[in-house]
Amino acid sequence: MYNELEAIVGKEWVRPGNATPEYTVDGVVPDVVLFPGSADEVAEVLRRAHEARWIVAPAGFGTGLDLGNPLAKVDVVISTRRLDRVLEHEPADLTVSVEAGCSLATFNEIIGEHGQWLPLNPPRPEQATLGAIAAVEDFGSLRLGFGLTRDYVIGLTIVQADGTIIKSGGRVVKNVAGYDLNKLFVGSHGTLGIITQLNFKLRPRPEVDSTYALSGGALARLEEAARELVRSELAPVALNLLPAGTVRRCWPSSPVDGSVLLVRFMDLEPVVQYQADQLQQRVARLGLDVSTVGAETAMALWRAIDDFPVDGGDVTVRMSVPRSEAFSMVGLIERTLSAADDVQVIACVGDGTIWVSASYEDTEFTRSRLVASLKALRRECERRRGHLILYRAPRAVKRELDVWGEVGATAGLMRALKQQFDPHGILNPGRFVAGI
Amino acid sequence: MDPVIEQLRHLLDPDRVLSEPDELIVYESDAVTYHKRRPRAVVFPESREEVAAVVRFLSERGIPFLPRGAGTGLSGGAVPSPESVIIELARMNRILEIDYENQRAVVEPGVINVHLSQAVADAGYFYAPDPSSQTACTIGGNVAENSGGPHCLKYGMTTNHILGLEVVLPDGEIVQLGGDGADALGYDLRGLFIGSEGMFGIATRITVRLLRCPPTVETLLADFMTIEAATHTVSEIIAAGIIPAALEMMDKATIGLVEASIFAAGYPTDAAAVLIIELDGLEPAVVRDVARVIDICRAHGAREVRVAQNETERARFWAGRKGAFGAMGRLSPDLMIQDAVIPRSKLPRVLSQIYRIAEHYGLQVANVFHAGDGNLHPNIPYDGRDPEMLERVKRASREIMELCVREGGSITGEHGVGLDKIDYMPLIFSDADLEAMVRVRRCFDPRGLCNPGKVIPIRRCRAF
Repeated sequence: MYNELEAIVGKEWVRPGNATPEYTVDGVVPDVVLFPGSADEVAEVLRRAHEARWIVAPAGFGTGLDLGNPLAKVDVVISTRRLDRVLEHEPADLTVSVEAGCSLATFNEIIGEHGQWLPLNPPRPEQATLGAIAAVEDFGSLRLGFGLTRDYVIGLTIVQADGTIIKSGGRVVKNVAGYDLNKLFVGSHGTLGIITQLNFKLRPRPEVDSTYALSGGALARLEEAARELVRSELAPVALNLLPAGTVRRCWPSSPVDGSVLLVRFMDLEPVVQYQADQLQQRVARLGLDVSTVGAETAMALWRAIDDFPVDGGDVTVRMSVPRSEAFSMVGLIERTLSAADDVQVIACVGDGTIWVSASYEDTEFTRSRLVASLKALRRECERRRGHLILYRAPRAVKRELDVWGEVGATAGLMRALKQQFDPHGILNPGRFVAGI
Repeated sequence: MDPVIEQLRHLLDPDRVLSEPDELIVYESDAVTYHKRRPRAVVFPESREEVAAVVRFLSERGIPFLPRGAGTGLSGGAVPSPESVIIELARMNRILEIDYENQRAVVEPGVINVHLSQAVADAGYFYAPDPSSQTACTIGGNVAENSGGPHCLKYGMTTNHILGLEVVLPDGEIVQLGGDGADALGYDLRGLFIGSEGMFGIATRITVRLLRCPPTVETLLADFMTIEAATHTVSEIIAAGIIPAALEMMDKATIGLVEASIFAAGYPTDAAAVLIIELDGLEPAVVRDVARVIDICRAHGAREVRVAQNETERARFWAGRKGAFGAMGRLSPDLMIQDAVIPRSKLPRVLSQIYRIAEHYGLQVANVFHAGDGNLHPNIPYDGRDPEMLERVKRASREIMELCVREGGSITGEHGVGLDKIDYMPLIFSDADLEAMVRVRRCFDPRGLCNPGKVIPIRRCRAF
């Protein structure tokens, strides 16, 4: 196996799994970690893996390998990190082609020279490759204002499980030729193919980025403010509720006590100013305080929020509920997890995403109590037509609680897609929903 | 009598099954009338249960079928394959739920696009995708085609506005794809279904996103004495990082037709091109962008830039644009409607080559299009009774399409492939790409009964 792989990608780009701990897949040490230098090399490796039934885990920098149900074994990790070139940036078209191994931070720096950006903010953008972000459709607090990866991907190059290279979409911003396979691969968690190149549409970078903190009231009052904001003409790009305990962790220098609703605007200077004025007026009517968060503090604060949780709790979950349910969920979360340690909660109350992290003393008793609480919360999310996923958790927890939860009647369709695109089940088998 | 039709009559009511040849004529084509075939029957279900029952019945007998909305499609996507039964969804036209709190609405597929925006307008909301046919086309049809419209430059296509779908799969099973207020788990089946051109099943309930109406809207009409000046203006507006709500262009041929029609909008008929530029959002943003856009227009030699002074004038600017396709009916018995996309920075070059191609074939071309996202509609008027002319039209169309693809573009930006563009698919997709699409279709419709013969050119792909 070693020799074969060395012949494909070159000796120096084949490493033993035990010498590359950053590519350990949720506790499983792969036999080898490969760093192919081209899509063709990725294709050649997959062709071989397909024949030999090697289990393959696609990766970028390896920071997302803990996400998903654990794999029983991993033969090969294929990292796309050497494929990191920005291939074609057409500033006048606001479009770009970039290889999958380029990090979001590097990418935004390069295209930032032209006043443009890809407005996504998943955790740790320095260590998150664009391919990985697309594969897991990772996102952060800016989702409210800018949407998801799926809204920006206009084309993909994918190496399929059998080594065939295909393209989906194209390089123009509007395109309905053929089925929209971009949507199939974005968010497929590396179970259908390996993304080697992405074409994005971009946005002009906003002139001004300002953050305001609303405080001084009970949760119900903040909920009223949030509801008024999303109903108003104002267009916050992020709207995050931090309960009091989380404020202390994410924003130790906070000048206010109690829970905080953060409101972020990004736009031209006069537009941000206008919205800030409007915000003041509306919030004053509700008897809440508004304070401007200084630029440096805001940057650190958003960083803490987006890299959630602070000092890594043992278990991090992500919930999705209709946004009208977000505040009631926050109350429920705090009550349900009252026995856990260091509970941190961030609720994106504009889009209904809620992040929760908790730690527990490592005994079977406390662990099973935590698992029971998470199960209860999952039921509550499902009752609200939403879900709860284990974003990061020790294997011991994953053994007792499926990472994803039930997908219902579409499981059959999803398994059929997996079967069509990866008939031998070599790509991340079992890692995703429905045993896929 | 056809026993299948008899049983369909039993399944629904007799008066909700059409089978007489004269009744079926209307259903032979969509809005491109050069693709025609008579369906075996047309049925009008009124609920998802009826859709599922009809689909199950047909599927058990191996009879092909296809969904149809208002028949306003522009790719022949709703033309039945031989022996197909059309499942017409026009009667499933209820808005089931409006939920402002979560900015969503649940509608049946037969709801007419503009009716939804009208229903939520008083509360200050709208549904963003606005194809030019929005007063007639259905949201179910929009889902099937992933429809666009002038305002998708800023707001995105249908796929950006659909949260979830209840779908009757081609075997009659009912499933929910995507979420219904929150995100769904697993593969993005909703995203995959949108734009599948009626080949993956029939959407029976659609959860859409509603947007807040922008507080300020300004609509500009700029006219230019050369095409190049107009196209350079477009490219520069985009390159300047301004995102207009819409940025539309019409050339001299189109202006002339519009102004001679009931859609007359007061466009200057001596201009080589006009641009409609709409900016919306918060007032200070719009004020600043209007000033910047006017500067860019002037810098490129715009003769006049008019800002609509009121809603009536704004509506008039748009009436001409939205009626342009209709107005073209005056020119000739038939119209080859084209839909291609190019990178918008290449507009000046590509457009001048399109005129050259038309001239080479001795044809006229009337351009009316979504300039801001590079989505061209170079339409060629012709007389279908003249086979020699039709041949020239076809050759010119293909040449235009090849040109757009060479420039890094696509063969369709919003109309879909259907039957009309099926032969162009190999211009942009390899056999492997197409095979991947076939594999997806196999998952949704293993027996290939739902709207067969569209999108994927089977002839070429013998292997699958």
